[in-house]
Amino acid sequence: MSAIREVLTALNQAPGVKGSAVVTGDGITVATELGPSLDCDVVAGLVSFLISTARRSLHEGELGTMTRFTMHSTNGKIVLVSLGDAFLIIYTDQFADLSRLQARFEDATAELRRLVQVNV
Amino acid sequence: VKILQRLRIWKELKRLEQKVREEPSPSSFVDLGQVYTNLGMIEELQRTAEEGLRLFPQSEELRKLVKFGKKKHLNQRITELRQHLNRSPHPERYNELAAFYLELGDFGAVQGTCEECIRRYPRNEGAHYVLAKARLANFYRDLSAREGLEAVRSLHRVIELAPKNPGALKLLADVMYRVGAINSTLRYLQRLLQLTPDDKDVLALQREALQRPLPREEDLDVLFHAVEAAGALANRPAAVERVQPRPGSDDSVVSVRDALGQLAELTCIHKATYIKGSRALVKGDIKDGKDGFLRVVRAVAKAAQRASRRMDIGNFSKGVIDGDFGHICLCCYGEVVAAALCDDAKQVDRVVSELQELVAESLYVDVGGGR
Repeated sequence: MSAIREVLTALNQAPGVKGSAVVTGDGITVATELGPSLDCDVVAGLVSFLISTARRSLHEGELGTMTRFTMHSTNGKIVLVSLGDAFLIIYTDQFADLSRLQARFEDATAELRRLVQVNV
Repeated sequence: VKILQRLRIWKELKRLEQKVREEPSPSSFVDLGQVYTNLGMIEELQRTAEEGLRLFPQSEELRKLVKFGKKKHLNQRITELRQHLNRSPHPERYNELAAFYLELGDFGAVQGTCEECIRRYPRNEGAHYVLAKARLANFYRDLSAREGLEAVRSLHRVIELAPKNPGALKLLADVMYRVGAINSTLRYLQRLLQLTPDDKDVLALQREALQRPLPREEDLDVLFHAVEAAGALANRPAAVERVQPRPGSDDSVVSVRDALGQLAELTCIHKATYIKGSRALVKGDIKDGKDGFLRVVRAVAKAAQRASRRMDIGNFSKGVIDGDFGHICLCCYGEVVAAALCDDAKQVDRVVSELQELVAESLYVDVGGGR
């Protein structure tokens, strides 16, 4: 198992986390542990669309760069964290307490930033 | 050693109590609350947190401390009840325990407790009732059809076991009305009025329901899924309707504008907007419709709604974009989007909840004005 997948597997053990993946800004999957409920290719494509929309509009509005985007939806939450060239996707159930998971997310992000720089 | 340690803690406690009296500030209240927590003095913790919040109502830290104190208190009661239940199980205690979990917002625990109770006491309607209330809360929060239909099933079971339970009939009549099942609403109201003929809320709901067109067929599955797909309930609550301004009236626009203005008055907020369709009300440092913040809010809200649905995780309801610019907090409901640019990470939760409130209160208000 690759080092990135190991980090993702460990992250998925956190309460409420249902899956995680690392994708590049243009939608290419670097590593995935998203689980059966989400189709990784679909998620990678949609996340890429979301990130490019946000980046473009932030750039046009001269606001700067995005480091993180948290989405709350009816049946789940998605957290997108910038790793530089790639993004970490964390998928949780709708009841997950993101403030409690913050430290876990930060640890995983720091570790992945290091690994992604080597791999991408 | 323990005695020495305890003495040191008590000394620190006295110092903090004095500091709170002489130099009150949110952080001094939080520090004192922390010591009370360490000493297991939950009642004092609650009292201090509430006192602090009364003095500093804008403090997010104290809001969190009040919440924490309440949670601690409930957890203490839950532990006591669990011990009681292990010694001598009783359906009433299960119901009380489930109600505490419901107050804590721990839906998993509510479900577990109710299921355990139902297994032991299948004819105890109380467990079905608490379960139904939890599911209804989830339905009204997320508009998830599955939660709504499960809530209705649990309420039907309550009525099967206790046909004269006015609480269950009222919840059923209300949810039926909100999703547009008018025939069912009237049926439950009729039963309710036999039990409580003078209930003003029931009479008001009946008045509202009688004004709605009666559908020929009423498929609950279809109605609940229609609510989920639209991201909005078919009817507003009858009681609120009486006090809400008339749609499209000047008052209604003013109320949204005022609420937005109040939000923009928070020191951490630079820009705030309320968008409905192509119209936007704005507050703060926004010169025109081409403002970068407005552009980001419109584009990201739309993209997030689309991505959320395509990912099969339901409707996008709220989100936060963090970056060099600070935090853009968004709240969506159908075609309505409220957003604010905030520069204080600690205030983000509060801003998001204020935005949610703004959107919820404005849902039936037609924003005719705007720029």
